[in-house]
Amino acid sequence: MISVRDLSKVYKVKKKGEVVALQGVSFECRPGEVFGLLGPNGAGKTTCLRIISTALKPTNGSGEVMGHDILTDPAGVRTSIGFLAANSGLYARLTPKEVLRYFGTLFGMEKAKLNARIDELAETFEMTEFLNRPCDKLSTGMKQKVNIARTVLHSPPVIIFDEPTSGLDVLTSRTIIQFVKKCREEQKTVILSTHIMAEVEKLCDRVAIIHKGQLFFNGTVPEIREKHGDDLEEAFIQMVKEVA
Amino acid sequence: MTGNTWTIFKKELLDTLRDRKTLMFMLLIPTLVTPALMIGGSRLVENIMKKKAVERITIVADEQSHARYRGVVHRWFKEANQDFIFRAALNIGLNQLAQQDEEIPAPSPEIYTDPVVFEEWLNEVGDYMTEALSGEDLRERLSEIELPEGSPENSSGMSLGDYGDTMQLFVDFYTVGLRGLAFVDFETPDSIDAPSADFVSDGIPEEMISQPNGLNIAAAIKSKKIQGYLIFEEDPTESLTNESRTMPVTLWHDSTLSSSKEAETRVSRVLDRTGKLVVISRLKKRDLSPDFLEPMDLKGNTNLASPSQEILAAVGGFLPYLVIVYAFLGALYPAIDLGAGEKERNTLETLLLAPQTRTEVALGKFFVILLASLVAAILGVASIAISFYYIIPASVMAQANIQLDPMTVIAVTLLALPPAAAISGIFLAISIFARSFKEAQNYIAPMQFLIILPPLAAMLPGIEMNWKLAMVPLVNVSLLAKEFLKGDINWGYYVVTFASTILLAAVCIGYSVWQFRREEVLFRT
Repeated sequence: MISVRDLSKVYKVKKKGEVVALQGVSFECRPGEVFGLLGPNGAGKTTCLRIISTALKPTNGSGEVMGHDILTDPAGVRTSIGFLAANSGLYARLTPKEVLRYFGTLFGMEKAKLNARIDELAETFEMTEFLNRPCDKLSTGMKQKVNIARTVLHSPPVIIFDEPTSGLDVLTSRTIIQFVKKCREEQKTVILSTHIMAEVEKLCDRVAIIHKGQLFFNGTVPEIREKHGDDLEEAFIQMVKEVA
Repeated sequence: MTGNTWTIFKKELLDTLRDRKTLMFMLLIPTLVTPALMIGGSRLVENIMKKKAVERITIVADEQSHARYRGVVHRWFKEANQDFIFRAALNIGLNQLAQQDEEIPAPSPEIYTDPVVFEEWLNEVGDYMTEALSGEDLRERLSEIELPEGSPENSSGMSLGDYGDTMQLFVDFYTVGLRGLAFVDFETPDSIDAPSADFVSDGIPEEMISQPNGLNIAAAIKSKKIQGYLIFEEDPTESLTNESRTMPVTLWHDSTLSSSKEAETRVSRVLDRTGKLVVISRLKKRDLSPDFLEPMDLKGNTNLASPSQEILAAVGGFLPYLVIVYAFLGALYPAIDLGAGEKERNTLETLLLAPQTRTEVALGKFFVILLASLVAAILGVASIAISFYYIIPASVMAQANIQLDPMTVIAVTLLALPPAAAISGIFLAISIFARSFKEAQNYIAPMQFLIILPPLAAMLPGIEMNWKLAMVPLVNVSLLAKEFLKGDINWGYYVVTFASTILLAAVCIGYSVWQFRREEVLFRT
């Protein structure tokens, strides 16, 4: 369960003064639901997700993740989410197994449980073959699989994916999409930021569209179709234009 | 260390150890490259010196000047033969030095009377000895030469080493006779060709090049064809009997060319050593002892410092400097990799969203940098100590009786801890502040001066430890080492040094933690 109310974020940039990255954004997403966050580059999606993950503090507004307040209880928030940042990297000289063990230990997982969980995820993401290879020897797809395994390692009830399939081939994307579906079946709360309309159609129960820091649509995919026609991409462009 | 700090420490250590670049800087350079350079460098210098000493040089002199120069060397020989042990031991000594199957031909009695025969004999001796002679251990080898049997001085099996003055004469036989005359080829001035068209005579004194053939000779010296031009205006046999004036000798040379400089060294030694013996014989003639020239003498062997203390004082001054340089090198790459490297690889955001505190992250990283810095400092100092064993002659080492005992290792480690901690803290803070690997390198490069210069300044004589300076990190380590070597260990200074360093490290770690909380530092790219 995630709920945010009236989130704003203002960055102070040298020489340019203040830049408003997010303005009065409110939404909710519930367990068993995949919530899509849509918007062009620079719309404020990543800022919004970073505020939810407690990496950034909002200038205004409030939020809760599984009952933990993002301002007063950031530690509680962090243990209940799995966060996959856009372009998230890996430790080049460590193997996927070592990376997973490192984060598992930091999340306080017991050794036996951790090992069992790593084996389970290795099977889910077909990683067994490269589990002991240094990360800098892995392909982009392999790396992303390791990153996603790392995100869900501690079985968090809330999962935040920031553009999880960007730059990946169809096969790897499909594995990831299937995994997101599985998360929904397991009654997890999933936020997915993307600008790939096909993924939105396949996965998202509800969609929020952000542009220039403001949320101007929050509803289901059928609702978009009702208003703007069958072609989702066309509808998206139209909506962005309307705001601009 | 909390559990999370330990987890981070273990992971960062593993990551660092797998980084070949770091290992090169941390282990390979201090342990292999520096000693190799030190040992190789000292051997190289030694070899060059040896070669220079027996190198054949060419000196231009007209026949008269050549004969007069030869006369001076012969005069030395005649004076040296006043010492009857030298006379008795000469052939035996030369043969033992040459250590060859064939014996050096016995000299004819004419060598004592005819300078030309003497020069021929010297050239022969020189041919036998070129291989055998080496400047450094000549004295050592001479001291082992047994004196001829039957001579009155050898009644109890004495060797040359027991007669210091005679041994000095043998050393001079090498520097005056062999290097000064036998290893020199003479050419006449008119055999020197005209200079090549591109020879520039600017800067050469007018009176030199205006002499007959002067320009040709100057050009020949500059182009390294010859090494010097020797002019004896007076006949030494006459001049040296006249006690009221100094005989002038002229040698053209170029002190910027090493072989020409060598010519100057050799001729000036010949004049100097011969002059000394002439003075002694002049004194004898007047029934004066050589002490006439030395009214006073400061006696040795009243030095309270033992040989090992002298070596420690000479070498030990550099110890803190070496410790700091190696601590710097050891910390450099791990620090950059653990801070800026994590940003560059886009792993920092993920790490900071794990449940551990940011202090735990900073501490875990700090301890890995500290360990690398300490290991590099200890290995560096140890490997330099070992290289000294090879560079310092064995005889000196044996006298010094220096041993690498556990207490010394502990003392060096204790000495390395404060600078390593200070440097690790500073580097971590810089590295976390920097956007990228490259930026961190750019920030740290000028730090070299800030970190290395103040301790160097503290090594200057006259700057002593006091309570104020004990509070200045890095400088206090230098001063503490100074105290250490003098044997005064004031534990109060030690405590203040440690406390001020821990404080600095803590401030740096605190700064790093604060950086971790700053959004503009974490997410700026």
